[in-house]
Amino acid sequence: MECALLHWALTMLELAVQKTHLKIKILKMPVNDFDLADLIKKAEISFEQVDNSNELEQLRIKFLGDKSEIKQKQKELSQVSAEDKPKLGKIINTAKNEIDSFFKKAKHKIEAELLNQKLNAEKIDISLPGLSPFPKANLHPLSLITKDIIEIFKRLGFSLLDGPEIETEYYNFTALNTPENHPARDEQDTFYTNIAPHILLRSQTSPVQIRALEKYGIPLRIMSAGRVFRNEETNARKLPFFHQFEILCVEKNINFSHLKWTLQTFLNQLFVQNTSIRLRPDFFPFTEPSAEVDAQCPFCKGKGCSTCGNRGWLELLGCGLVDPNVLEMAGINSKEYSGFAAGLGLERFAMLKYGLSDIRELYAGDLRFLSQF
Amino acid sequence: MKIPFDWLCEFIDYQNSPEKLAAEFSLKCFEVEEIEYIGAKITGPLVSGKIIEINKHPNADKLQITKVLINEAEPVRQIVCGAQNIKTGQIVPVALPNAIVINRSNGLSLEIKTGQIRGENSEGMLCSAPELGIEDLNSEGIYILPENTELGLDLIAKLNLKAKAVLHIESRSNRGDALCLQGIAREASAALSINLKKDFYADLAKSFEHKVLNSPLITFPSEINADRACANIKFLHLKNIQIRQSPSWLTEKLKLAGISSKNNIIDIVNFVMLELGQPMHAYDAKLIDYKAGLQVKLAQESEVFAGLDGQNYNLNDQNLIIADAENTLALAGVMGGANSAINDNTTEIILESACFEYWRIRQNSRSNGLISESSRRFERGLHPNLNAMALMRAAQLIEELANGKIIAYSVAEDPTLLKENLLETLLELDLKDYKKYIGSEILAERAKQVLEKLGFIVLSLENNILKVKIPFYRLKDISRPIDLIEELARIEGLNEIEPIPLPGAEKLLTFEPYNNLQILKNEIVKAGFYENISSSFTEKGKAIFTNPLLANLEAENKQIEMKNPLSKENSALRLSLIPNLLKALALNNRRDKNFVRLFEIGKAYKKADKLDLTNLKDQAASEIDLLGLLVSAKGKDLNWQNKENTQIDFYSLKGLIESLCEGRGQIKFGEIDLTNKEQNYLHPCICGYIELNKRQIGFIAKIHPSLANELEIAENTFVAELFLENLLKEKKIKIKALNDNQIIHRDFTIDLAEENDYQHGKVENIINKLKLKYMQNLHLLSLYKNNNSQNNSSQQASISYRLSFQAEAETGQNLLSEEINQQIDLVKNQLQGQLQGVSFRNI
Repeated sequence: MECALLHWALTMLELAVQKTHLKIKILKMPVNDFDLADLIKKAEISFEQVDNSNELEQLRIKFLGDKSEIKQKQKELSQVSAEDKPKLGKIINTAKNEIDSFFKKAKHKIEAELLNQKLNAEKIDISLPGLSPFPKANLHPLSLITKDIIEIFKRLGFSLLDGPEIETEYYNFTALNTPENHPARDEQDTFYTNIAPHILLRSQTSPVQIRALEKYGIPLRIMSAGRVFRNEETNARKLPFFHQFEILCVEKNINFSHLKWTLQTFLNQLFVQNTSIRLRPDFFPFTEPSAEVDAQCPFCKGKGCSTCGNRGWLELLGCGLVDPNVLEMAGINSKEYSGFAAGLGLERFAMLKYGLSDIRELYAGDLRFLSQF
Repeated sequence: MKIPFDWLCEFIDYQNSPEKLAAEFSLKCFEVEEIEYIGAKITGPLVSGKIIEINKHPNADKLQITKVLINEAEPVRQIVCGAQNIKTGQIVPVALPNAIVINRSNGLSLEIKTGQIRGENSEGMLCSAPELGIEDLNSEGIYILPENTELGLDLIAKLNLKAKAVLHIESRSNRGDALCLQGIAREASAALSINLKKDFYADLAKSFEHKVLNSPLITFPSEINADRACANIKFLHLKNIQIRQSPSWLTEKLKLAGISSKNNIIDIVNFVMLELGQPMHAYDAKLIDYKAGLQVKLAQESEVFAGLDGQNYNLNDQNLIIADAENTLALAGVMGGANSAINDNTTEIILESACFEYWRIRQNSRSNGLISESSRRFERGLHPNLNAMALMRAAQLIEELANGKIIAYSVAEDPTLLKENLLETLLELDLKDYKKYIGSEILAERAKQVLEKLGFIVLSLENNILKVKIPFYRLKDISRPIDLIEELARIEGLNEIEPIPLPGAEKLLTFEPYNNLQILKNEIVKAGFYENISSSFTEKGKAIFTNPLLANLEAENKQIEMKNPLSKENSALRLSLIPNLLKALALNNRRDKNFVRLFEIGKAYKKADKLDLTNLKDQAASEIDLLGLLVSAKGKDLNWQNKENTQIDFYSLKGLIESLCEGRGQIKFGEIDLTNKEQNYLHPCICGYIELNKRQIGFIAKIHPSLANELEIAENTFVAELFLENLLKEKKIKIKALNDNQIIHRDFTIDLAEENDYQHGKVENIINKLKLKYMQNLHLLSLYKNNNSQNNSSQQASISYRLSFQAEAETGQNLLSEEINQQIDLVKNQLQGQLQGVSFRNI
């Protein structure tokens, strides 16, 4: 408002200073009794007070409509001399624009208010339950852990291979340096089938190693994951079937340090960086030397907890350098080539990772269990 | 850069085709981007002949009849000729019948034939220079051969009239030495194991010293007044210059190399640059004040320099210039100035040859937006030894072609920069390292030979260790033994290297099935199915369920049993995944989980079909990878909005299977007749096979209510089992062009008197069989069935379809209604003919 008045005053002042003769003429004109400043003031107050569109329209007609004072004055302009008309027209126009801006301001205010009311009416309860277009579901924990492990060895250049679950004695034992009557055969409580006496359910994934060496030759860097069977009574830690994961690497100049690095790298990736591991001597017919690998318990950092049975170490996998006999059986010159192998139980890793105590829960199909992953 | 093939062959001992050279060169040196042929193809017979008689043509004023002798043994030929410059006794080119020359009026081929010209026989054509593709300034009339030319000579060979090959060779930013004929020739000699015929560098190396420095020539002052700008600069002052046009051998070479001829001096400067790679500049000596001294210095900020090209350049204070005491004469290494340019009146010149720092010239070029043949070479770095050679070569040619005589010289040097630039590089290359880096061996003698061909100086070869001195022109890019190994490997041929597998990677088998399995599992999980994993064991002889597509395995004694079973319940291997899924459902139903979606990926096992037990290593069983799916609902799964959360019924399961198969081929569902099958656990009327690419890959069915009752599971339970391998193949994706043409929909409704007559598949088949040209899609809009079966007269079913039509993308046109109407009529006729009691609406 102050601005508008100032503007008006300046316009008048300008006219007065620059064209003194005009001032005289203005006073003589039919508009000289018309107090524009007063009209602007009145309009401003009126538009400021209006709060609904009906009243606003009334005011618009009053101040800006065809019969409004300002329009009247505009019409009267025709009686002014051609010389004064532009200047005077400008003065009236300025006043009209001023009033028009009050109108627009008021209109905008009322519209904003209406919109606001509409939006308020649309308020919803955002605390109501969400409705997902996708029903929730997930993979089995065994699938998850298997995928994690495969991805790590994939990056280390290991190819993924599959083998049959219904195997021959040859691949399950003989080719793995476990001749007939070797006591190691008994340790594994093998299921035999009614197909033939030598057809059995594999008790380990190691037959895949032999099949791969035969089929693809050397050098070879493979992994395999799959179901194996042992004739053991079901309890919280044992089932007649479970899943193993196994790696084999046969190349020139492979030694035990490579094996250690590979396992260390694997466990670092799966658990945490710098997972401490320790190796203990063990016996497997198909590796020489053989070892059992413990990792410092990632849950208690070796301090001892229920997961590791307060030992601070977790028994994780078996490994060793491939026995030269195994290589020779597969037709590989064991003087030129050497390799390592390692195997682990996937259920054990899943149980460790998810803090699971009863292995049977994995395979019961109970959604209360399955939906937690 | 453009390398004229014939010119290149002056440098190397090479007789084969440009294509062969280009092929080798691309594989071992630089890519030959194109072989351009310039000039028309002219073919013979085109021989020299002597005009022995000329007579007026009786019927044409402008023609003459000549008698031409080709050789003594042949009769004289009559040839009609229109040119006026011929005289008897001249030896001229004669194109005989079947020859192809150039039509001088349009530049195309002109085949010569025996014929009559205005009633007179003509057995050939006397040729002008343009008809032979020769540039000749006196090209009016017939091309006259020298008097002593032998008759009957093959002129195609003699005049070298074949189209000229120009090799467009890639220029590498690290190989300034290869931006000239000498450099390319050197590369070619190594790539093709051939000899260099010309080695200017060796020939010219000493001549500057001999001819100039040790001569009694006078000198004039010059200096380098800019830091790290110029290692050395040399000027020669020559006088007695006669500016004229260059001879055709020179202009021809320049033209093929893409440089137009100006005058003999400029042409020689350009020619030497092409030969040796050193750009030079010639000033008109009378237009500059060389006596007071020439200098290399930095320009003044905002100084205006008027270039040879007629443009003004605003220099900055980092621009390097050549100046005399008064004026800026040249933007160093880029362009000379207009004020000192060679012109028709030039009689004395100053020839400048320098070794500028490469980055100075790059700045000069970039800041002024001016890239020249000269700057391209300086930017890649030149050696201070090269400029003297170039000066000597130019002086030699100027003497020959412009009469110029050297009368004075000047040399300026930046001792520090010169010393740096002259540092020699000696490398020791142990060929064991070649094997270490490349994998294959190279014989020591061969390595020595290759390096020498490339210009390297092999100082010694002992115990497979080469001591190598790097030639001055390779100092910029060869500084380590590995650089030499690269040289050897590329010339030996990168394609000759035997591939050796990465250790352990040789047998890298595909992860495709594994990856696809992960994708498939994720798709199923996203559809709301939890993954189940279950035991392989089942009870012998009590398979409640076998896959109807796997025949009756129990009956056929194909089930595998344990000889030492753990328990009766675990005495055999499973034949389907469905029983364990139902078992899991029963457990969950007992736990009040009423809306269940489960899947399992696992094996079914059976004895091998052909059992041969003689080989103890052979497999004796088949393991079939399966995908089992189960959906089950007890009641409606309503949310707080009273809408169904997700649909659980036959069609939702069918929809999932369709989406899993999408992109893997044509999918179809068909009814299975269970009449004579043992699968009495399936709903007899809600059971179908799934067909993908015409192979049955699985089944989908509702569980029989009595089985549901027995297992205490929800009756509304649907299962499907599919052979997994079909879902693990890579999806085939074929992109269709985006079709912007208008899509036009036509809806119609079929009213059927008998509901049982309707089957969606039937309607779909009838319409698809029509193979309508523009039909894009058939969409079932609604299906309304009237349950009032008592009243036979009423309509029993109303089915609404939407057909979408669109013209092929390539047409870019919208369909006309008549075109669609025709197709709709076809649909209508077929449906009425093949379905009972059909009436249409809205069609």
